[in-house]
Amino acid sequence: MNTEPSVEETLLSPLHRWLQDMSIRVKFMLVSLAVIMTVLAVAAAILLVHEWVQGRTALARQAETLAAVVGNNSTAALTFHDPDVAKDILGALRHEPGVLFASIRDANQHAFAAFTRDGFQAPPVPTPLVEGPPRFHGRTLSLTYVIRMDREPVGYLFLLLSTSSLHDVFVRYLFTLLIVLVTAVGAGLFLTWHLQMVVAAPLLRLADTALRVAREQDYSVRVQREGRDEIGRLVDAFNTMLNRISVREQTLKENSRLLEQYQERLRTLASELVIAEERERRALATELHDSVCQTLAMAKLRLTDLQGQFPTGRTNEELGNACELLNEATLEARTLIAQLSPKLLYDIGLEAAIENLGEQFNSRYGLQVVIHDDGLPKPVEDDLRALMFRGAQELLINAVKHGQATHADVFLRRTGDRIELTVTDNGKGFAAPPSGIPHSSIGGFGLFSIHERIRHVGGVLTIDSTPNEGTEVMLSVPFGTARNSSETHGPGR
Amino acid sequence: MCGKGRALKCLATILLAAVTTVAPSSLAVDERTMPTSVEDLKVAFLLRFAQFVRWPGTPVTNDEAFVVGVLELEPLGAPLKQLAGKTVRDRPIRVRHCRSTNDLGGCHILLVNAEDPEKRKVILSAVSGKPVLTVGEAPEFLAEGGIIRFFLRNDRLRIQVSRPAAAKAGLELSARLLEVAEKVSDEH
Repeated sequence: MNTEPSVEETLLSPLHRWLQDMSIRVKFMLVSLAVIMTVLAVAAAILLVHEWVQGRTALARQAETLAAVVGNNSTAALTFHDPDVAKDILGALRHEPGVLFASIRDANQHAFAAFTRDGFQAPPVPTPLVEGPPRFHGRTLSLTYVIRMDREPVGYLFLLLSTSSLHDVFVRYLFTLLIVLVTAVGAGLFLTWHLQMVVAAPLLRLADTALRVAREQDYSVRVQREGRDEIGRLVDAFNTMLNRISVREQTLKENSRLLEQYQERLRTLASELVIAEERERRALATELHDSVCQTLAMAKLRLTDLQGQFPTGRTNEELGNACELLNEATLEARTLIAQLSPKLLYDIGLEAAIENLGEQFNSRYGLQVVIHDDGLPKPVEDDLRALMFRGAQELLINAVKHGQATHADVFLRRTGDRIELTVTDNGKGFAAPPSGIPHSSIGGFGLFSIHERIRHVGGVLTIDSTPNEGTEVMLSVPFGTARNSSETHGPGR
Repeated sequence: MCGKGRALKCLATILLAAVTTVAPSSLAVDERTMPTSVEDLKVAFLLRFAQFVRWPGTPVTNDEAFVVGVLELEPLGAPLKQLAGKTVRDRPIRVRHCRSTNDLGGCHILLVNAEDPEKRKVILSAVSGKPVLTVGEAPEFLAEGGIIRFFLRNDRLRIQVSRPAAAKAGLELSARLLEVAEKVSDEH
């Protein structure tokens, strides 16, 4: 599996990466919150702008209406030159809180009457007054209205209004929107929290089940599908995948069991092969001893008798040579017998046979073999005894052949109901694998078959070796009831 | 009586001059009809009354003249001449010098500036019940049945209005006119 982050993942913002690690429920909440906030904020902004524009327009219209009313009511005062009446009319503006200042000028732009709200300083009135649309200046609105009489201008009205009411309305509107925003977000989150379970719950169950499968490797669990949507299809696919994994698991277990059976049969065959080989060797050795050797002995006796009849002469010499040849043949036959089936192994015991084996290696390969026997009785069966002997023989051959050792120690110990045979040498050693027996590198099929045989009888074979520091191999096998138990319950695994 | 009226006119002229000097804007009406005396102002007011009074019936055409009758041409003769060629409510103004009651027919506004109370009474009786806006300046003018009276107060030309007289004449007075009227006489 490729775990390297992609370019997209590298370029993702930290927020995005943080979001990726969040629970799906938190993601739902955050997404809903973002959507609600964005929608409401946009709506609120539009409403605020609309309200602001509408408010300004309404205020401007109100100012225009007010100017028209005041102006039209002032026509008589202007016409009949009565500033007092004009002042009275303007005085009515006191009841319009938004009006800060009002000024009436006559047709010649001369001041006629004015009104100033208490506490407000009268501003300079632009001269001349020109009719125009309402104009906003900061928090004020100014307007000039031409007072006409039969289409003829008889005066001018200048109005200055405060836009504080607009600001107040705007602030109140903003506050209301804020309350609406908070309430809507709260309600939205409440609904999302409850509704998101419709989507999140099946996903969470799926995730929990997947985790359980991964952790416990229990492929029998299934996720219940709740709908036919994408999640439902995902659940179906997941269950189908679990079904297939379950079937494969069963097949794998069956195959593994069959393989184990084959291995066991192989070990049995190997064991039987060693036993059969050993029996054949022993039978052959017996046959050699009982027939060939006896015949050779009888032939030698006859030749010796015949030599007695010819004390001197060439015949005596020839007979002597023939006797020597028979002696050599007998010796070779006995050597062959010893190699085929060491008589000491069966007649005296494992310890004596191994001691004899050491002497043979010493004399044949120059390997100095020292036997260390704990002296305890080792009442092992013939085939097991032969197995241990062949094991020792194979290990010593390996020490000479692969390790090029000059010295080897053989330890024979009895530990409880187990016999341990340990062979250490001063050879060149090798890098021992952490487990398993590399038969191809330490002795070929011989040691491998011994190992299989040892496993078959419930024993273990351990190798401890380092390059240039020699090798130590230990065979440990149960005997007596312990061995029977091991063979009954299968090999030690 | 006659002497008293002349003295009043002189005083008014002097006061008006003083007022226009000190506060020229207070009496300013229109650049084109800038009054120079109280007489000018009265003439100007006469025309403005036309804009705040509704006469019964509608004129057949806009060509029908708006007739302003005057009993005595002096001292308003000069300002009255300035009205020539002007219009009120899109109707041409015609100034008529009414020497007798026979001349009163068709007048919309009648300036009853006769100093003789008897003459005023005859004139007012002649137009009684007719849609003629009678304007005078004698103190007892409204009591005599006149509708609008000029007078001076605080150095300013002001008006008094008799609503019953207007109603009797079938004229509708604008509330704005009543607003500027110093005293609305309902008791006559």
